[in-house]
Amino acid sequence: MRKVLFLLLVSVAGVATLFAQTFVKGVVKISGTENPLSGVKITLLQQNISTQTNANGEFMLSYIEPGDDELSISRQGYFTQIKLVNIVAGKENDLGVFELKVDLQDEVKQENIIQLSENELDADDSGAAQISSGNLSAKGDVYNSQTSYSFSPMRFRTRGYDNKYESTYINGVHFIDPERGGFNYSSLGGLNNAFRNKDVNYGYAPNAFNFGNLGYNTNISAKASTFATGSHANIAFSNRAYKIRGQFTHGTGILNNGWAFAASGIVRWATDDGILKSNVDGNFYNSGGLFLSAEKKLNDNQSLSLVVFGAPTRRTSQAAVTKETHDLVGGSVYYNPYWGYQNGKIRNSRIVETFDPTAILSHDWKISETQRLRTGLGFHYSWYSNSGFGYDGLHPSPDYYRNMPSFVSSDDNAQQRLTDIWKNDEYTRQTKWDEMYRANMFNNIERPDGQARYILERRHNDLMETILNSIYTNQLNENLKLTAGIEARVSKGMHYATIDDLLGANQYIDKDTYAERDLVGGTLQDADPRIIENNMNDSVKTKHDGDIIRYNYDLNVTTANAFAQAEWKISRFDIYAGLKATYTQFYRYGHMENGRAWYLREVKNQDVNSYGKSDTWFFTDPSVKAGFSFNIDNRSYITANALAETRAPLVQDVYVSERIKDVLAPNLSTEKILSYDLSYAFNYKTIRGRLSGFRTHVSDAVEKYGYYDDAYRTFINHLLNGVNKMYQGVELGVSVPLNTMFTVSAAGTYADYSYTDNASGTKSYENGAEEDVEETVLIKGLKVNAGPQMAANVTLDFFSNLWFADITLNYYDNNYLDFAPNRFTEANQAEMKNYPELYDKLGKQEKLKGGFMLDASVGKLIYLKNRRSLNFNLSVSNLLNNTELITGGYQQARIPRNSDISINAAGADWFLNKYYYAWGVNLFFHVGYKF
Amino acid sequence: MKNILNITIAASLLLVFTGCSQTEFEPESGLVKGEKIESTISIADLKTNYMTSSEQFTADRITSDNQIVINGIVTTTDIEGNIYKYVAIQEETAGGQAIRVSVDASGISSILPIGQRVSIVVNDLCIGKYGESPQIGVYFVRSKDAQISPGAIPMPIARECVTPYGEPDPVAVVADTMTIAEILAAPRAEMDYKLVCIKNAWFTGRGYEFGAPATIANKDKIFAPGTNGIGFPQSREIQDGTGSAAISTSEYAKFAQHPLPASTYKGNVTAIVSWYRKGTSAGSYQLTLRTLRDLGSGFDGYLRSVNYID
Repeated sequence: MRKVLFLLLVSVAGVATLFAQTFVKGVVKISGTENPLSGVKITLLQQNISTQTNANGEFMLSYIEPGDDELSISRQGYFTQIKLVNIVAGKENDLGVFELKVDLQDEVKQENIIQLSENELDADDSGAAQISSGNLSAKGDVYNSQTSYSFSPMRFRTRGYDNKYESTYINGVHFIDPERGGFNYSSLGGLNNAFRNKDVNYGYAPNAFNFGNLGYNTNISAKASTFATGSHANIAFSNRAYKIRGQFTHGTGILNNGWAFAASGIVRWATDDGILKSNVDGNFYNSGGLFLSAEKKLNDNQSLSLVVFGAPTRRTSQAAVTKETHDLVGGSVYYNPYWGYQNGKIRNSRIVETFDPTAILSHDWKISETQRLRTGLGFHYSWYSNSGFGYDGLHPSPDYYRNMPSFVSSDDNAQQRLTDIWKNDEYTRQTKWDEMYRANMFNNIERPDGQARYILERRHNDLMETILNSIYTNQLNENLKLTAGIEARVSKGMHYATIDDLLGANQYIDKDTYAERDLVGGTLQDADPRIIENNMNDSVKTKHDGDIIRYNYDLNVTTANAFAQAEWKISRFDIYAGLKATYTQFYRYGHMENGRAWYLREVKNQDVNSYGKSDTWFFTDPSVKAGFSFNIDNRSYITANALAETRAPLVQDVYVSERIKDVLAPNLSTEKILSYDLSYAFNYKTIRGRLSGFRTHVSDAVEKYGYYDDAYRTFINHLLNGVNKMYQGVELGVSVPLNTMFTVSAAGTYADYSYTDNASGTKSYENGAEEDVEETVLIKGLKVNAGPQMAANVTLDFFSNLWFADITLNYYDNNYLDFAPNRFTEANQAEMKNYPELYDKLGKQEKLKGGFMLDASVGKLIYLKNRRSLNFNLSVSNLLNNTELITGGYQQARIPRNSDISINAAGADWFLNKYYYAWGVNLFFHVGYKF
Repeated sequence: MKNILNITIAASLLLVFTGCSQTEFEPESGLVKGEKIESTISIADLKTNYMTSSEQFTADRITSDNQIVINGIVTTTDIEGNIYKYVAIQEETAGGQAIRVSVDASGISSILPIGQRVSIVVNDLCIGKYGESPQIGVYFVRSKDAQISPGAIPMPIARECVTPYGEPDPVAVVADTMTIAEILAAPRAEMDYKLVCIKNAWFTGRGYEFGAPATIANKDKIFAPGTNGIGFPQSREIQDGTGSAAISTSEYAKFAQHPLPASTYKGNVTAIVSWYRKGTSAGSYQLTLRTLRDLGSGFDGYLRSVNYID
């Protein structure tokens, strides 16, 4: 079918080339220099036709309409220019040289986003938001550029969409986490200079590389020919997650033999002590990245490019804490219970290790003046692991609820004593490595063959994937453009735990200690003792450093899609329509025979397996989109877009307890999406901006939450299906140049992201052999955890004589903490309502307090002889030092209960929400040198 | 090309020295670093002077301008789940008594194992009674019925007031050999939380209710059938020819589901003695096995039959 379409398009294109053509061409240079600038995106805004400059800074656009139009010239790291041009019909219009001014602030703002977001990436228990790659490059559109940098510390998400509604490509290859959705920006290892050149588009309106997604669509061009010729070295200092960063990039430009090479290396560093100490107590950050790119221009129409990169990284995490803990540690936003002293050295228990080596081979074929075929093949292997304690002794968390003053409410004296201890004793506040080692050593003596009291385990989520993308474009004539693309992906996610450190214990015995407790005193008293085994196929139960323990399974996902879209110009209307079909299949492969799953199958006669290959599930999903843009007066436009589609659920959400069994969520169905928006965009000399309204309905979605419940003494997976949500709101961005030096820009959104119906819940007890429990979860009216739903800011920009400065005041409100489904089950809601005070604290979703944040930066660019330049930049965030602003967190799932499972009203303060707080005043100083 | 090569080499070296680097940690030695604090009061005097309320469930604050310190050796372990959130300490002085110290930590024996000597500064803690059984803890009022008792000491406070010193010396923990008759006849204050060893004892296959032996169904002839989460311990009768007493076991003990040893097994039973009385009932002693290994010489065949591995 694709072949037929291809041949058809090629034939039509051949006819089209017979007509006379109109061209525009020009050259882009760096302002104040003679240096050509490659990789600049050139767009005729009214005609929505774009291209990029080559290594010599040259560009050419063909098959365009004559008349007045606006030419947008943009590149990451430079101020976007929009010029009015008059295009004469039937000739080559040479527009001359355009000079782009360097945007020094851009890079430091990117750093701000990366550091702030990565800090919370690993909070996998809390469903913390990931960075939006679109945030890093949303230039051009006033609203998007105004909101992307400044709002990111508050986890603002444009239109409330989470990562799975965004698409990121590198050299035309779609990189997405096939299990969780979305792009893992940290896989780029901070190689900002290598990945600066981006083409960012919002929504599903046509773009040059994909069908479109609800949110940002980004294509990073990392081909060697797009790198500026020469070298660029920079060093930066900050008081954030890492203290120092060094980066070096070199590009050869296109050599006489048709080759181009580029390389980039980066080091990011912070220690847990000393002069390079991370801002968060007990944290460190060690990362080195390497990027290599080679490109060969095969002939005038074809080029082949190979890019490889990777950045092994070891870094630590910070925990979310309750307000009680926050207050007890003096309101420090840098408190972190994950670390403690071991023999006088700081040791953090949550160490993330990542390495994402990636290779991308891409081929670009300009078939004719009107046709282009771009194909990319990507291979990506991701090692991701995070460490944490396994224990059979005292709870290892210093801020465990029973250690807090709120737990001893009967004894004022003890409460005050505990308060004083918390305030004054660092040992109490931190991880107690000495106790754990001592416990293991005592245990070695008392039970030489017994279970370790404590271990540090490492939870691995590795991924191997191969991706193929190909996209064909054909400007059939001046009024019709066709785009078609295919994508195929095969991936295997490997999930297992290993022993990172036995902490002095003789061995770890691989059995489920939680299930063991049930076996002796709980609900499994009559069960076969083998249910506590994590792997019945493994006769060797004693494990040591590096051995796999607890669980070991793969999730295999294969997807393929094809799309076609057409763009027409009819008078003052630009119209588009597109179709896409997506096929998704997945299965689980278990490497262990879990005792609980075995028990459910053999004793309870349930259709449950944990070992071997599960059934293969597949989904076929259509997408259809259409929209138009109406040109009012060559300076203002009305645009409308609409999308309807279904989507396969993400594989991470479909299994009720994938670590131990292959049981699928009941009544699983595809997610349905209906989205539409309407915008008015204007671009006058005195003001430019956009006003939009949008609404997206998501129905039959699946969401999964996980938590440990002490009351039931098991890890519980709580899966919601039949989730219906609506995202709606208005957004406005305006920019007003006051004079040649000052520009004022402002943006704001007022939105509502809500659950519109109750959902079906399935609770699955991972550590017991209990049957899964299905119960309605009352989430209708709750808000989606998508950052502030009301936000506004205003920025004053200054530029003169190669000095740059800006100051931005941000306001946030209507920010809602993520809810815990367990608190909203029908039974729990009804039960908690019997205790009004407890219900107010535990039975509702929290709306976080709004507030202001002030950011500012200043920079200077100095041009030197021989095309060299030097720049300085200082960026300061949160100048008001507003550390009471909560940027994220989660509602704890647990409900205080007595031993007979009735609610314990005295425990209303034990399981309050946990938060991440905004960092205080923090800065980033950057010095760059180009030569 | 040369530039590229240089850059590649330099960047590769950086990778090696950055992403892969990590701090090496020396294992903690495991030594107990505390220093003994000399006793200022005996456990007996502590009870006499400070446990002044007369009810069955009490919690009296220990207040003094001077530091009040008791010393003892830990005689309990919670490793098999039958002892939960407390340690019993026994004074090593002649005629020394024992007492229960409630600590809000499951797995407390991981840091206070059998044989660990401790000094406890008891100022501002409470000493009181739970069913007339003396304990040290914090002031606790049960929400459902306002019952007062010594509650479990939060770990941060326990770390402050309980100082372990010296390496654990389990050999020094020696149970006092007594007959059941001697236990029943001894002054209660001397028996509370004392570790005893009863020779030639056997399980009769009966339970124990309200201080007296009671017949139980065959299916219940295990140490502790479940209580559907209510959580009270289950009593099973032993005899030694001098009297009858109750072995009290939590349903959460790892050996709760094990069958009772047949009455043909006769041997040493080591246990912690405690007392419980509520309301107008007569009250009775409870004997708590710390681990199944407390069924000593004479029960070897039984332990083999239940595949007991300690």
